[in-house]
Amino acid sequence: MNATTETLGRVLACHQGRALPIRSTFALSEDPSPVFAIAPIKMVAEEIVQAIAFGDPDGPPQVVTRWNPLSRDAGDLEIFAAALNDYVEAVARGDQLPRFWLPHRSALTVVELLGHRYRTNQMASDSLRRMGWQCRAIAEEATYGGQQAVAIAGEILRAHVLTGQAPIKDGHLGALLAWVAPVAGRDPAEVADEQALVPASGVLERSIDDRVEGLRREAKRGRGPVAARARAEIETRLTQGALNEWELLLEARRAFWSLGLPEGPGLGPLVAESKRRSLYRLQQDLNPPSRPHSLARLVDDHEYAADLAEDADVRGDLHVRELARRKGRALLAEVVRVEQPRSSRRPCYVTLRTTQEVLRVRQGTALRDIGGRVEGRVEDVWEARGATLLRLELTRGVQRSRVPVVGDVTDWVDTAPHDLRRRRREVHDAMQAAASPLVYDQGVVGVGTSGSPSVDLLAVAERLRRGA
Amino acid sequence: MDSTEDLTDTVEGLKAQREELLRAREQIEMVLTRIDTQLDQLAPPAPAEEHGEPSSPARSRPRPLRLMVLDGLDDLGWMTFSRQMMLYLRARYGRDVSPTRFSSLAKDEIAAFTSKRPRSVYLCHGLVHDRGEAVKRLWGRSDWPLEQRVVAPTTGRIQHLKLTERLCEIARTAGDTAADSEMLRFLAADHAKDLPGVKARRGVFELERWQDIALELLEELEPRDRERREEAAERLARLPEEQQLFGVPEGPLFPLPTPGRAAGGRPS
Amino acid sequence: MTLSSTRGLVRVSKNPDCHLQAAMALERVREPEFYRSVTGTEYPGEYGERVSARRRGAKFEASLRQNNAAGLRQVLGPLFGWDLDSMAVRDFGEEVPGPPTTMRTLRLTRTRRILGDLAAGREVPQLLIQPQLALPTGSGPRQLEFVSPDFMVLDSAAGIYVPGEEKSFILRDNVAEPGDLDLTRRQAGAQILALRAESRLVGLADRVANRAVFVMATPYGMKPAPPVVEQLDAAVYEIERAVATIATVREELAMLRSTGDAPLEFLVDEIPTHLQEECHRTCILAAYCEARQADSAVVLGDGAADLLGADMRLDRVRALLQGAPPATAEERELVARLTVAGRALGLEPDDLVRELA
Repeated sequence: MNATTETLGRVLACHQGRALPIRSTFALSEDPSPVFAIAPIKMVAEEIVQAIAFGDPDGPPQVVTRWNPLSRDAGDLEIFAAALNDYVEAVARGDQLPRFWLPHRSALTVVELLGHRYRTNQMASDSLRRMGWQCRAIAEEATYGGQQAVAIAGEILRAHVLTGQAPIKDGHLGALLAWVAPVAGRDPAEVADEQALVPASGVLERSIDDRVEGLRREAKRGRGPVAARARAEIETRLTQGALNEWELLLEARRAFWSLGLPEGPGLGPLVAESKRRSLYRLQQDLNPPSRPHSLARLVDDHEYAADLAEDADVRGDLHVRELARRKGRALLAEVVRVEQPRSSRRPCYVTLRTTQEVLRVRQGTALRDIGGRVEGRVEDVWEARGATLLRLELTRGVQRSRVPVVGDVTDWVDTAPHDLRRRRREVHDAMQAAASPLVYDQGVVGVGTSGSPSVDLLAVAERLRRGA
Repeated sequence: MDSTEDLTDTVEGLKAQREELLRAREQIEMVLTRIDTQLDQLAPPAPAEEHGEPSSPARSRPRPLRLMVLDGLDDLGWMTFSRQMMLYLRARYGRDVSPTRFSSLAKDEIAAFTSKRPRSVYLCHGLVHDRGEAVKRLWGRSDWPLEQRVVAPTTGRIQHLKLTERLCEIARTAGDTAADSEMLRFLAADHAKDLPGVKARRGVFELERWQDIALELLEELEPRDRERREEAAERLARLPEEQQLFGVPEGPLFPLPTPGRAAGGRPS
Repeated sequence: MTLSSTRGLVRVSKNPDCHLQAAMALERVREPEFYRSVTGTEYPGEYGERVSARRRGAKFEASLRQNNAAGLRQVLGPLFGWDLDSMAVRDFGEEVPGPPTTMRTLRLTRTRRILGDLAAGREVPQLLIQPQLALPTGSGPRQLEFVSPDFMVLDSAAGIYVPGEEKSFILRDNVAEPGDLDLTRRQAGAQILALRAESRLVGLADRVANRAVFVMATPYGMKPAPPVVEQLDAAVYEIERAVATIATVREELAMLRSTGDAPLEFLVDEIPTHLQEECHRTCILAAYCEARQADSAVVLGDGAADLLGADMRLDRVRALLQGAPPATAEERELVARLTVAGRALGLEPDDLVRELA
């Protein structure tokens, strides 16, 4: 979104005293059943968990607390580890999309660090190590564009609405909710500022945090009644802190679904990809990629996910498409000519006419109709009688039932994701087999590598070029 | 009456009173130490022990800190930082000392020296080799030769090795005489972990091995360090005795920036 | 906590157009007290570093500095061309622990002596812990800020010290959070300038490059991550701007007080401010400044302030969108742009009028 559109949105939201939706559809598919919510409380600066509320957001949470989170004893986390694994097994059995809800990015960081600390920790139990790689899987899935498995409430709300306050204030989930679900009779700006005084990043409120720090010193002093009382009070305060985070998460989730938008029509492929990735990684411990071929595959995965997400957004959401139109990446055009010598066969050429001023289309650009059924590549572009004409050679949608008809007026977009990963894998496999020192080693070697690749890379590249 | 004269008299009187009190305190401390020693030697078995109950510790006054630090230095045989001494005293003698006590200890020692009250031994600071500047948290004994109180560029490493070696030795041999033998072992391990070739493993105390490593390195490195310290000590020996103990005087070379607003209400 | 030394410089560098903040740094105000003096109420939010953050920072530093700074030597020695076992260390934290009133000048004296030794080709330690530097912020002898890097390491190739910071925030896969790094870089920018100023006194200023080294933590306990050396031209520039702002504000305050002395809290209304989004994160007076500019574009953030002008009244924007005649060419263009933007939100001009009614 550009600065002008954002500014206007905030002016409107400020005037109306409520957040303004900036999408016409949800970018998140409907919550599957079951869902797993995680609301951790961390120790400031240490980024170590001291309490977690977790479970099905439609029911009461379980809470685990660690009165001494800096100790090496992580037995308190076993209950969380077991619950997480039970959830993973349940969605795997049902071949369902897993869905994890977290309140904010700070909570995801805590989960990610649990992954770092426990995944390969030889002092930890098997179940905690498993928790480690499952947490890591959750954190990694969140990095994929358009992913559907990890819902970070604050971020997903910000992607759907604009508030009438400065963007930096939207970073506080409580302040954001003051605009998304305004309190009747109160100025949301005032409510937001009140909310901002209470931490909403997975930490205890200051005075309670200081109290807990003081109690910890007493609690460490052995097993007498004073130490026991201190531990009990720590656990009570941590439990309350975790429950507060839980409530914040639930409120944010409710507020999000209460926006009442329809689900984006293009989310199907995103759900499928997200389910495939996350179920795979949640059920086994995978080493992070470090070799060039595996890193290249990882990049391909991310690129494809980003392409899918962009396509789903531009085709599925009116507002997003309008923004793309401002940049010339979506155009409203009329079909003025169809040239198809043989019905339902290629070649098939379609000429489009548009009067849109801003166009980012040139020879070679791939265009697709917003229905996603017809796709082609621009062969020629020219101006005539105050309009721009584009001649496309169709690569998809040549069947009689799908081919465009003269007079059709529809939006065309330049997002046309293609899953080339299987083909690229041939290149990566060849790269791995060749293991050129230039790619795999640190230094530059002399002319003449040891061994020759078993696959003709040029032939593979040529096939890719023709096929795309 | 001249108020300035009155003020000067009052200040001088207070100084004299303070010296008198410090002298009295030291004499009392020495008497108490002798009494405690005699009591320990004469104390009969406590009645509770005859019934198989553990004896409670005999009530005694805490030993003066300066004496404990002197003893600690004697045990460790080398210059020791305040923090290391604090942990050692707690582990070896069960004595808890707050860090701020050390700064008042330094002031008391200097005051005692400048008051010309003779003490057989003073606590003193390590001295930087080139200019005799004090390292105020590094303690030595005045009855050590000057070269043992000098910090040459190589002495940091020697200090670490010396302390490591001694702590390993004490942890190995102190047995039940240590207030907290486990803490002693942890202290030794905390020093030994930065020896070359040592990989710290939780709960594993290879005290003898660590001590051997430290001794080997000392054998290799100490001669050169000693040479440098002796060289420096020759120069620093020309300083007045007070400076040989507590470092050369230093003062700000330039006026301090005034925090906030200067007198008269205008900012500086 | 006061806004003094590096902390104040860093804060000013983030918003050099705000002279009030510079004045607060210049006068080393205690922020919560200043807030009370200005607003008449206690600051309602959280202020200051939490115990656990302070503790972690202290633990991390202690772990790097113990045993003759073994932790620091291990990571810095190879990077700067030294055999880590033969690096000489001077720790001013142990040499001059206090008292606070004279500690800084005593440490500065010792640091200057070492720089003098370096210039004279005499032997110097390879690692200085908690050295002290002074950065001039004006021409007067008292117009300076004390700047204290966590350490300085001698670069064997460059023949000069490089300032460094120990930061206990966590690197994951050698990547830190951008917000954490920004402040650290600015701190280092101040240290580079201060070192250059000190080196100038002994003729070594040319050797001081715009770079610093950072030693940060990993997710695994207190073990340090491999140190990062960064080129900090931008941070140095920002601090130079901050220093220039402080000099300007010093003169402004002198002028404001030329007719009569007044404490800073009485002058607040006469000192230019510059509210920006970042203020809400860092400045205790952000809400106060925002309240004074209620219903102007700046309350909607930096983007809105840039587009509309910080002082543009939002009711004027609403009126323009509802059809009020533009008074200037800028307003005319603004209306055109906002109307186009409305369509991106699915709102035609008539819809906009309706939404703003």
